[in-house]
Amino acid sequence: MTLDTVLGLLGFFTIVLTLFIQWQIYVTRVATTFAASSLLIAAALVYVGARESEPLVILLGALTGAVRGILIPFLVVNNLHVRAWRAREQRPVIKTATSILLSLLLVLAGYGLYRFALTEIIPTANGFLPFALFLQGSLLIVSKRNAFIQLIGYLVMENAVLLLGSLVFPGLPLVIEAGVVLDLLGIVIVARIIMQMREATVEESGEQFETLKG
Amino acid sequence: MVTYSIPMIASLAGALLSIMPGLYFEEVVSAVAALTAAAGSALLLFLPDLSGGALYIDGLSKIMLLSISLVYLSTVLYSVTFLKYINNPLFQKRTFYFLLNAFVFTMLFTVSVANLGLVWVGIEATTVTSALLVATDNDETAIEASWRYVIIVSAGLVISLIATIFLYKAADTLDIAALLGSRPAGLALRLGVLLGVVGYGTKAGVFPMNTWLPDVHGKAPSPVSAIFSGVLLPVAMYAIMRLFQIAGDGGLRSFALVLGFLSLGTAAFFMAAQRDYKRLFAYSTIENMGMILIGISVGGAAAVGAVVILVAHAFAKSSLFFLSGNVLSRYKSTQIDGVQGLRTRMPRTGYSLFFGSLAITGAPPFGIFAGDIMIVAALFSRHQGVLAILALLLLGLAFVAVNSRIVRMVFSASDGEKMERGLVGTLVPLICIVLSAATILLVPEIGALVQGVFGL
Repeated sequence: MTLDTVLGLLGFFTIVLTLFIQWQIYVTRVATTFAASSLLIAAALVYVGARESEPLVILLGALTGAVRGILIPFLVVNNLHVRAWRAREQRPVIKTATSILLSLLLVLAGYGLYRFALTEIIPTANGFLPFALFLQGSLLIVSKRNAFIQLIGYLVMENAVLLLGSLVFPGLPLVIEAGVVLDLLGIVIVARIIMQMREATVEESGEQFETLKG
Repeated sequence: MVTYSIPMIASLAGALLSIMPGLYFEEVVSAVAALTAAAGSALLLFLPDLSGGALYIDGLSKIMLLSISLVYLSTVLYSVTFLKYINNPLFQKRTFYFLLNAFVFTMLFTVSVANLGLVWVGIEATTVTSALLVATDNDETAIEASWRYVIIVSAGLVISLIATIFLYKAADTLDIAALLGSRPAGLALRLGVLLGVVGYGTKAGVFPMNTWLPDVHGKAPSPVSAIFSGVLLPVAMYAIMRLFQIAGDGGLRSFALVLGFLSLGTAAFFMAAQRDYKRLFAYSTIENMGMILIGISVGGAAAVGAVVILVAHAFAKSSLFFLSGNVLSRYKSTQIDGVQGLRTRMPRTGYSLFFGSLAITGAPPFGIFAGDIMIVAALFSRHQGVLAILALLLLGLAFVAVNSRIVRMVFSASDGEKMERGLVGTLVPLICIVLSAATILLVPEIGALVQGVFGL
């Protein structure tokens, strides 16, 4: 398979999985789907690294699979202090049907952005994928209120950057990639602590946050 | 190399040693670490610039290192007297000092490293180390503010990570010295710097992704608000300055100028409607960051003015947040209407608050006045009189909004009894205000230090 075919397949499945996340309301399913999407990216990295005989890319793939595909989803799911079926989005900012529609439109927007502004610097056939994925992650953050799902939205954005930095623009120094992964892990651990306290104290009504207005 | 790393080493050692048990050990260790960092940063002013290795220390880095270290020192000293007022803290005192020292280390790391990728890593690490500090008060709103901080700032920083990748694509390196030497051009560079301004702007409180800032500054404990406002935002602004240095122009200046004015404008109008004094100071920070962005967009003498504001603001704003901690510890309210008669009930705090508010709103003889004048004069000299007048109007609105409220808090009548804080709690903010005023005397020296950065 050529690199473009790998990227094409990867992109197709990653976008499908992210669309699937958009209409899920249960945190465990969202986290599991995110894990599958990250493992897919990790597998693609390992394949490309082996094909091009680049041990650092294989290492990055392994790191991605371990941290984004296994450790982070585990930390999120393991943090739920209620039964899995109760950990869900109860009052989304944007209704599920609308967010699916928006999600599809954002894939098109990502493609349009790429076609009209970025083909000059990203001359690969599937160069729009990171941007479509980035927009999907942003939508997850703004369309949901549940902190766990918002965190996964952020992680989807990070996966988009990983795609851009490793497959579309290969060659970013490993020290930077490792720094990014460590920071990501740090953010997830800190977010996990805050979410634990938040879920325990914060009511869904939000009336107590009058002092955070204005 | 080791001499240039003294501030970083001191803060990292402070973080690691703070965890060890012992009566007042964490406070003593943190104070010694902060003092060493400040002395080490001051020493760097007399050493030549450093580049070519893992560190890149020029005049701008030296100014940042000294500002961070001095605000670090004042924050540690103030925290010693303040933490007892937190009723139900999220963690033990030594965890607070561990996080504070680690947070300072990440900021010092960011302004010292020679690689733009590591600058991003450093700025993201400031979020990791500081998020829990925001929630120290351990109540619902503090935890919510902390969450908003993590999610909004992290999402914004993803944009600056994309920017970093574009820059790498444009130049095949992220080494600052190499980027400055090769002067890359093209679409990838232009996109990289534009996205970088938006992404780092999220952390610097630049419009439109500044919504986290009033929440965090309003709800974090006062020493944390002080160090956030005084130096964390300028650290993100440092990254933007580096992007300006690398890119030259390429449409960046007009873009940043618009964002600067939007930040200044929104902050001025929100200040005019504010009823909470901590949020008032938070919007004042957005206003000052807006002026800094305008200054570096205009370039030349205005860019020096921006750095002067950055330094003077670090001292004045940290002082104001310390003083707001004094007021909150006694009046138990952050509402402006809930605080009356500071002049008679807390005279040292009251008068310092009055002079501090003059300092941050650009009144003479404070450093921000000099910086504002340099920026407005540069706008006039470039035949951008309309923009200069707009800036003056917005600065005027901010001046009236802040000072009218502070005057009401300080000089209103009250027959309550005296309840002033102790000596350290009032002396530290006062020294910071004096340093903010002293900045005006250092304008030529600041100009000399940054002349290479802004091509003067």
